[in-house]
Amino acid sequence: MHRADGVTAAAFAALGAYLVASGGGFPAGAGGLPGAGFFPQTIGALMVVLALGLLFKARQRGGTAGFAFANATQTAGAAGMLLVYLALWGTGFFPLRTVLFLTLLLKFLGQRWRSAAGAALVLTTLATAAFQYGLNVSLE
Amino acid sequence: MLRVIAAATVLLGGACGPADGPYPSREIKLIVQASPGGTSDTVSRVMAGLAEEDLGAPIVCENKPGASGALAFSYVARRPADGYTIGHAPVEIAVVRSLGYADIGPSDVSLICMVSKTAPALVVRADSPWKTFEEFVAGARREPGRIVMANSGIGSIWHFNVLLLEQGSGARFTHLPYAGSSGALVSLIGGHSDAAVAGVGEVVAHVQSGSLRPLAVFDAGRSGVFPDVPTTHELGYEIGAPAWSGFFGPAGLPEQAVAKLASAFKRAFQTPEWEKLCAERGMEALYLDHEQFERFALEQQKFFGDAIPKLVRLGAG
Amino acid sequence: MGAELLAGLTAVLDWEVLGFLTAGVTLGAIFGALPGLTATMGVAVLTPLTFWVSAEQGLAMLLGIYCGAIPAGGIPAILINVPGTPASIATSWDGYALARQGRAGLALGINALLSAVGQLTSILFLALLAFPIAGFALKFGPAEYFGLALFGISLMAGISKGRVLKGLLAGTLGLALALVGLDPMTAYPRYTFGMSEFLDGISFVPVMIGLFGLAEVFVQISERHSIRELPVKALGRILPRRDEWKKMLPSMLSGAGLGTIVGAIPASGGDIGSVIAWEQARRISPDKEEFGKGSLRGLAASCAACNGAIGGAMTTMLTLGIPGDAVSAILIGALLIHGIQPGPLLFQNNRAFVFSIVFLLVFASLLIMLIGLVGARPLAGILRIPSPWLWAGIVLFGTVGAYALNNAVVDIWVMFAAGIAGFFFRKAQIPLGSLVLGLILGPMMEANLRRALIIGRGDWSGIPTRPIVLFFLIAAVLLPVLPWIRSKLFKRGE
Repeated sequence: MHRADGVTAAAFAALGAYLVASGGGFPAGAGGLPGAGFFPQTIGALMVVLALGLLFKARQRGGTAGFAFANATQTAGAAGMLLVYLALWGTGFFPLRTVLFLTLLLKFLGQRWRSAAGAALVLTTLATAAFQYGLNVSLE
Repeated sequence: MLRVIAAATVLLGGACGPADGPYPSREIKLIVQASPGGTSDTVSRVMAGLAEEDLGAPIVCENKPGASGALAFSYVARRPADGYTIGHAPVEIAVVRSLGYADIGPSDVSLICMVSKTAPALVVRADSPWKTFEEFVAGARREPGRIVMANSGIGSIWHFNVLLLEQGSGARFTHLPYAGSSGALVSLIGGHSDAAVAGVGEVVAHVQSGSLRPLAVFDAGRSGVFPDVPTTHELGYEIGAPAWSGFFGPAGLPEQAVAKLASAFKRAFQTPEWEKLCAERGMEALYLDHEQFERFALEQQKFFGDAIPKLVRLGAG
Repeated sequence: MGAELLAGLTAVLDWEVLGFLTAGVTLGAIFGALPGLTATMGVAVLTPLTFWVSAEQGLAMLLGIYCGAIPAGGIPAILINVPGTPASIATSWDGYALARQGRAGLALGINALLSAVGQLTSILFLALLAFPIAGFALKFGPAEYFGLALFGISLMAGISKGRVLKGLLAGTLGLALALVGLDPMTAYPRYTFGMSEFLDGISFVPVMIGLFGLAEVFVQISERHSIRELPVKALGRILPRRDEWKKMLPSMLSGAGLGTIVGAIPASGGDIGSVIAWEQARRISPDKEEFGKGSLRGLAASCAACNGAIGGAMTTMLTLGIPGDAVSAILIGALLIHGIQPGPLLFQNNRAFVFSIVFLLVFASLLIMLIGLVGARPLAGILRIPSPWLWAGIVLFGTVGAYALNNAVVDIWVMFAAGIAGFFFRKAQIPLGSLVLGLILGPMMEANLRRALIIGRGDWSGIPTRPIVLFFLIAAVLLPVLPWIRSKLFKRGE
């Protein structure tokens, strides 16, 4: 069984089943018209069928190939840092927060402190100038 | 050293400290509940531009569209009541609670003033067999559901007017919802539906170009754009829920700020630029001050609160 | 007529108007090239500024932004595999592959040249066939839109790069995501989980930034030491050779034509048009396998269609006063401010102004060609920036852009979720093109099928009997199996 495809198929099948089930709870259509649940159920059913097809193919394909995650620590770390940055969105001091985030991110990705801080400062200035002063977006 | 820290705070955090001196001493943010380019956005931007000078502080518009405006209304209501964040208040502010989109209404905010009103109009294609409102209503009564009425979305203000028409006249239509008036009018012009109700300003261009014919304006008095088109009130149907435009701030806005903003908007209201914009967009320039607007908006909230549950049942059946 | 033509030209041949146009194209290029900013945003933001200048000047600026942003969106698509605007998603498929082969210069050159040619072709259509095209667009009722959407969805298999099953699954996911929000017919909230932020559905742009911008960053980080440090360093030549022009000609013309038509149909624009054009070019090409791996034909088709859609959208806007896409909706608002009402009356009363717009579009296409060709070499400087800096830039501009679209915090979370999901999809080798197609076409398909059924009083059989719908349905069913039939026939012949 091709593991990556098997996992993918299972995830899609579950989502499809959820769509079919939840679509049943939406108001039905009147006078022979499809209701709000018609499309969710159709799409969900289609998804289940396609996912079963993929599962079948994954079994046929054999092997045990899973997801290939090289460099997982760095990827997860970068995603985690972004998560923290987004969670603090709108708490004030946008430029300071952003310079800090970008510096740490660049340092984490192997840049020297000085070049990381420099790039962070340039990017933050550009973004603030473009959005805050150019487009009147309030970044806080 | 302190001064450096203070400067750095201002630089990094933007101006977020309490305002000193007489109001307004810094930029005012005007939150618009719709996307750029539409009527709400134009009204807000033009009004902001005209009121700035009198106010002595810049007014900057920020668009926060979504959920019929509920997102923007709730956002403004949550901001500090210092007069530096205000919002554009369309009719939807009196509607969204009844639709269940957000628990907010005119009673939860400080209303500043109202500047315009737009009546809905019933339009058909120019080549349609219906020449008058009476013929149209009679046709809709004779064959219930045969007339396909395009609307600008379930729960939109123009859709309510169709439902009010059904309730008031006993006519029955087949409702064809679109996402906005533009889609509904395209469908009507293209011959995919038989009639539509939309704002006077939205249909005027298509009427002038000869593709649509207005049958009635849903209002008490005649529209300046269509002086020859009868109103529903003249025809004996007391129906019509107009769209309107005003401004509001968070609850508990200081009286001084309300007065200052209202007088600046009133100045703007009296300029020829505003008159011109209203004429072009088919809006009726109508100024209601703080108290009048409050009374009006609360009436509207009550009207929609009573009407919507009934109308929605009617629409579903 | 001649006098009006001349008057229209003179109004445009004014140094101030041309200055506004150049400023607009340049600004547009910036908006288009930055992943977080789109043409719609650029036009929307600058519309108020045009209140204070003449109609020609204001329109020159806005049209410049519109025309400049679309080809500029192809630049990051080619250089770093991050489409700058939704219309340039198809451009990244062949453009980035070309860049990785060390032919980034040629890809940038084709992007600039073919965008301009596509736009000029669509303007030619506009000048010759404005009213027939607009009339055809008006014939599009709910049933026809449903047919178009279904046809678009049938392309999912073709753009899945050989992974048909996964491509179709991603397509259904796109369709499923499009369900979020108020049901278009009954206003019943679906999958909003009680959040009013989702009542209007999931915004498309943050999803795109996440899937293509953020996910690309994550993928590059995860592969940095194993496969490649930086994708491309070499630029190579910029101008296509004569034989390459010859090769691109058919897909360029079909791309421009399809782009014009799709652009003319209200509420569909370059984003759908370029994907349709790319897939059609693939089907008629002798070298199908090349598509997605650096095919000049594929790149030509998508670039020509992106800007071809502009001419189409302008046709509908000018002749009928109906917006052909989101940008032209804002343009109508801007024209109204100047007391100009687009529509049939404009052609009767103010034909000189119509010609002015045509000339502005012509000059704008020359400008995008010029700026694109001159800018290619300096732009390639992007490639010499250390990749972590690029990643940091994409993350920052993507985040701020996702937020700035609606000033909504929920959009940055949508972007983040799409970025994480996009990363796993890439790892699981799930093609993303069909997901985007599903997301764009899902609402069009559902709302219009149900509208068609409302009009037909629940009668399904009334839908496929309309000629345009029938055409789309046949195309949707037939075209995917055509290569298979052809291969059978050929085998028999041998």
